Amino acid sequence: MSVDLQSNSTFGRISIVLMNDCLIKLEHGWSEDRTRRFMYEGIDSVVIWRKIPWVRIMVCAVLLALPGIILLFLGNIVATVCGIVLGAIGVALIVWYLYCRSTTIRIVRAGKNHDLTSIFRPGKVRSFRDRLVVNIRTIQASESNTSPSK
Amino acid sequence: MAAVKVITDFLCPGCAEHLIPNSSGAVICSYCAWKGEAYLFSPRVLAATSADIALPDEATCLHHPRKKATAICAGTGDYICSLCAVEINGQTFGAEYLNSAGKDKAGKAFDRTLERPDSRIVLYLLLLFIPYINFVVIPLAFVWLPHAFYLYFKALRLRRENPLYRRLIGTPRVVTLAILLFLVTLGWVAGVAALVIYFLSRRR
Repeated sequence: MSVDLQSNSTFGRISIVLMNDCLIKLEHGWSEDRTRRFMYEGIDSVVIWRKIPWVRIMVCAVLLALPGIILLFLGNIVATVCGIVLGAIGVALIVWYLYCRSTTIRIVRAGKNHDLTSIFRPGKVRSFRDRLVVNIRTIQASESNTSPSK
Repeated sequence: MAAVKVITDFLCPGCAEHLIPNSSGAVICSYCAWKGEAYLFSPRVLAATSADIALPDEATCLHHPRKKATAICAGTGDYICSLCAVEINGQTFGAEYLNSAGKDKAGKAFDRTLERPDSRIVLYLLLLFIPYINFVVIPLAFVWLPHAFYLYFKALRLRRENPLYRRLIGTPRVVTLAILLFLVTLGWVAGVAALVIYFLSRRR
């Protein structure tokens, strides 16, 4: 079984792994990963929302799609091919960003917010959310049954 | 039963209003039109152990004048009670110190890292394909290749010992790295052998 949620953005590559008793966020580096654990027993709430990453879309449009379209009108065969390739990459990226959108998973623990924001596939987020909610409920139910009374 | 805190609402990320999600988790904020999902849980409440009250002759905590001092802060040298004491790497610090001057120390203490020998192997292999840098990297393969193999076996050991690392590094990655390292070694040995044969043949 591999990681549960992975973001392959150029900057700030992160992975999220659901273990038996905690959620682990890994910020990948070249030689080591920074890890952060969120124990299920202490999680107050999980809030998930998605929004369209306008900045990324604009960057893709300005750097890839628009130059591609401009190259199409130069009339040169090499420029046309380059324009088609560049434009196709730009449009594909924009469609991908519109489909996935930027997902934020907010974990509230002891009143403090911990946000995990990146572009994840919606299907992956759904299955991750289901497993996370079930894991937290199971652990918190077992903790409240087994711990000594206060 | 353990002490649990039942969470009944959450703050809207858009306008910080208190919201209550429906049974499926979906929420729409009526104030700012924020749309999302929220799941509320019942976390366990951590019980704080109370510090002993100081007797007239006993040293008291600097931050809790009525509490008995049980330690000395390694950062400031102040008397601190059991409520203030935080142990980091065998040393006791005061919570006040960690919250002010010792913030870096506290940050580093709770910072956890996971070693990734496989990423370093990938870095070695990537250097082979970077122009100009590969002119240096290829002749020096006899230095970094053994290190890459050492890292590979380290990654295998980590996979056995650490369940998190095993989740991160699947079998396909392990196999791919082994194949790539073997091919690079084979290529380098073949290259060196070809050079030796070439120079020997020219000498004759």
